Amino acid sequence: MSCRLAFCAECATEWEGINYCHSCLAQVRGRVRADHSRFLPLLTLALTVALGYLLTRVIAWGAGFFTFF
Amino acid sequence: MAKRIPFSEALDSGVRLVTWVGPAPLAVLVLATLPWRFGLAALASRIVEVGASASQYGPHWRDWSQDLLPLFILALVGRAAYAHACHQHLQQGLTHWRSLVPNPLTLLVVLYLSFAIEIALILSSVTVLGWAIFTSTQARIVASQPAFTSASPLSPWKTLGEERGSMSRTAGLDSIFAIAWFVALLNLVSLSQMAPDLLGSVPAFDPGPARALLSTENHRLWFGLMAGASAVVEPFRLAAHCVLFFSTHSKSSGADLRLRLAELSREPSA
Repeated sequence: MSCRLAFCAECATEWEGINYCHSCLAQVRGRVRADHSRFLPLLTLALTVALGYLLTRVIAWGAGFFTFF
Repeated sequence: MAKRIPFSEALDSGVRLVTWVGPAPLAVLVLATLPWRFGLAALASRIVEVGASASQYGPHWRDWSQDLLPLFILALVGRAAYAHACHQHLQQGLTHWRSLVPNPLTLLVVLYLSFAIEIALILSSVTVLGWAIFTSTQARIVASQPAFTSASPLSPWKTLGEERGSMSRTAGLDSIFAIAWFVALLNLVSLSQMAPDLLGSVPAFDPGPARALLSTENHRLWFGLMAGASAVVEPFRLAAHCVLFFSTHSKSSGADLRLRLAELSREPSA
C-alpha cells in the first residue's frame, strides 16, 4: 500500500488487515522484528555489566588464593 | 563438508595476513593490549612481594581488580578491532580504516562471552589444562566475531557450542603458539641480559642500576618479559585463528567466492 504499485490479489499478502507487496511486507516485518529484538541486547548488556563486577571479585579472590601455590 | 586446512597453511596465512592488514590495526592491537598485560604483570609482582600474607589484603586486591577491569575491556576492544580488520581483509581482500570498527552489538557479545570465560579461566587456573582450554576459548571468541549474528544472551553460547568441533584444531594451533611464546621469552631474556653491556658502551652511561633492574633474580623482570612475549606473539596468533575460522566457514557464507572475485578483479591491474 505504501509503494502505491498495482498488484493482483495473488501477489499481495494481507498483514493486520492491509494488503502489502513482497517488498513492503519485508519492511514491515523487519520493523516488528527490530522492536522485539531491542530488549535482548539490553539484557545482554545488563548481564555483561554483572559479569564485569563478578570478574573484579574473582580477580581479587584469585590474588589472595593463588599465593598458596 | 567444511574445509580443513593444515596448521602450516594456517600459520603461513596468518603471518601474511599480519603484513596485509597493515600497521594501523597492528598498532591498535598493541597499544590497546599493552596496559592490560603490564597491569597483570604488576599485579603478579605485587602478589609475589606480599607473599603468604596476601589473603589478608582483600580490599587492596579489590582496588587492583577495579583498576584492571577497564584495561581488560580496552584490550578486548583492541583485539576485536584487529580480528575485525583481519576478517574484512579475508572476506573482501581490502582493508580500510573503517574496517577497524566492529559492529557494536558484536562487540557487546565479545565482551559478554569474554567476561564469562575469563572468570572460568581464573577459577580453573589451578590446573594447567583448564587454563589452556579457556585461553584458547578466549582467542576463539574474538576470531569468531562474524558468527555472532544475534546479541541475545543465549544465542552466542549456542554459536560457541557449534564451534566446539573445531576446538581441537584451535588447541593444536595454540600449542604451536605456546612454543613460539617460549622462544620469544628466551629471546627477550637474552636481550635483557645483553642490554647493560651494550648500553655500557654508550659514553657517560652507567650500566650499574640497569644491571640490578635487569637481573634474573628480579621477579618484576620475569613478569614484564612474559607480558612482552605475549605482546609479540598475539598478532600472529589472532591472525592465525581468524584464518582457521575463515577456512571452516567461508564456503557456507560464500566469502571464498567473493574473495576469489576480488582477486580476479585485481589481477589485470597488477
